[in-house]
Amino acid sequence: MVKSIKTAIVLTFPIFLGYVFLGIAFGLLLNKAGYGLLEAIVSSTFIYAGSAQFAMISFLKENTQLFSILIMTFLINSRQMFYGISLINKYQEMGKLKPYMMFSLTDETYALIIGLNDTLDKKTLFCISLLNHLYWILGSILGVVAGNFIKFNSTGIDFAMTALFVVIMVEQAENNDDKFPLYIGLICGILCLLIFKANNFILPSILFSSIILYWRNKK
Amino acid sequence: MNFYIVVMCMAVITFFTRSIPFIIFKNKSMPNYLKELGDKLPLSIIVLLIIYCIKDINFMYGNRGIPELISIITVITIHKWKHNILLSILIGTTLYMYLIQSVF
Repeated sequence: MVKSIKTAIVLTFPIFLGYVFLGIAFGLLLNKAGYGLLEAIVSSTFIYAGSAQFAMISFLKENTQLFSILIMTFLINSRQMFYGISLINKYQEMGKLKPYMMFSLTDETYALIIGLNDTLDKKTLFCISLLNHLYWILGSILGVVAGNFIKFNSTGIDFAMTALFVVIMVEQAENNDDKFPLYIGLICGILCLLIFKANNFILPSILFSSIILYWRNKK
Repeated sequence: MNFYIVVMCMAVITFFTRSIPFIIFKNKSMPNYLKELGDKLPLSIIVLLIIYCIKDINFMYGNRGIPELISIITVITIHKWKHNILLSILIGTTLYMYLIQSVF
């Protein structure tokens, strides 16, 4: 177990940077909206979805109807319903931990688990998911209690997450002879960004990439 | 609206969204075309997540996304050269922070 935790700490370091600082931003905003420590901990523990939680602050401020909140939450997170397709076999072996692994499948956790080699054991996979979750909760706590005192200019530190995705892309591209999915993602992403704009491009991009990849396999 | 009702509803929806493939294929095996898609799709999604991270840059205005592009190219180059995950991320992030705080 100690070895699993150590491996997971090293692997999740970039996510530690990203989640703690994004968590601080969330805690700070939540606090400014009039909520305290307990609310920050509860929302980061049970929702555990960055962009949805930022949206939650505006839902609360604007007193949005519950039905709209449900739909918006689903739309904001919708890209994540595709992640499980690649993890069904891997998570089959997780036993009692499987529901938690499904619950904690954020963008960063997905990228890390997909991007690493298959030799990671069950315990390490669980530690990766749990640590990421704890970083996010920790960040939210810090945001509420200390957000206003942070003087260090951290602008741009969330690039750690972008850099993590870039690193995983390089590793995946080197391990796969088939580069087609990379180019398809790039082309669909850029075209959808131009057509659907920044806030709505990701779901159509994944759908078009899937259709093209499916169509190519069928040929 | 009660805070905790909002949190619980959002928590359930988020968990449900992430669980959809696991729910659909709980008792039946995945058709082959989906297995193949499951093998190929992650590489497309990783690229899309990178675009998602930098989606708000405007090529016509402000710094035109130059710090993002320089930093991403740097991460790719260093990673292809050294293959050290932490090194690539630390250099890339430090460079990016320097570029947007002091240069652009």
